Amino acid sequence: MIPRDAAALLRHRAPALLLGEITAFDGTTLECSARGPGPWRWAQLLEGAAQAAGLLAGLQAGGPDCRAVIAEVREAAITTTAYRGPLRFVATLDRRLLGFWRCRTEVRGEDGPPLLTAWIAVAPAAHQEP
Amino acid sequence: MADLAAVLLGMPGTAPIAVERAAFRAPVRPGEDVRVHARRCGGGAVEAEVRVGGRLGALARLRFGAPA
Repeated sequence: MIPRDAAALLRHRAPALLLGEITAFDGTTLECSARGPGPWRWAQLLEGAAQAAGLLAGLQAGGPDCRAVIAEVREAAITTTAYRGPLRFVATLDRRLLGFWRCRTEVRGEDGPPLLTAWIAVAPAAHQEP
Repeated sequence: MADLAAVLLGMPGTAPIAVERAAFRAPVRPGEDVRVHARRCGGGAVEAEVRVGGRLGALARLRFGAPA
């Protein structure tokens, strides 16, 4: 079940867009490849995870549109400060709470443990001040 | 915030091992007066915030050191 209009749910465009293709989506968990082989800094790993969370939230019924924002990051564990190679950004919907979509995210390399894990909450644009 | 926190700890260019919490309250746009503040909290932790035109834009608690 690969949504055809996913690109419309993200306002990012290259080079800011870090997601490549959707490689898996079952309604609750979204997995995306990364654009290019890197090298990736830790902040890009976190940004890619946030983009995956935003896309997953947008794909939900009643989910936010491309103006969505990241409201909060919690418990981001960074095990790799830099990485070169293909990446997988994985986001799993945990719960919806008061208009926020909380996702568990992972960034994985070709093998081994996750390079980064984090809880990321996505909110509609109205969450932030104009 | 992470870059300033690393400088504050005397480890410029070092990545944090954890972002314990980061909250984003307002958009941060180029051209506005953007100021970043950081404060050491002990144990390798730093609290930082971004102010945009005097308003709170984002805040975070970051941790540096060896991975657990």
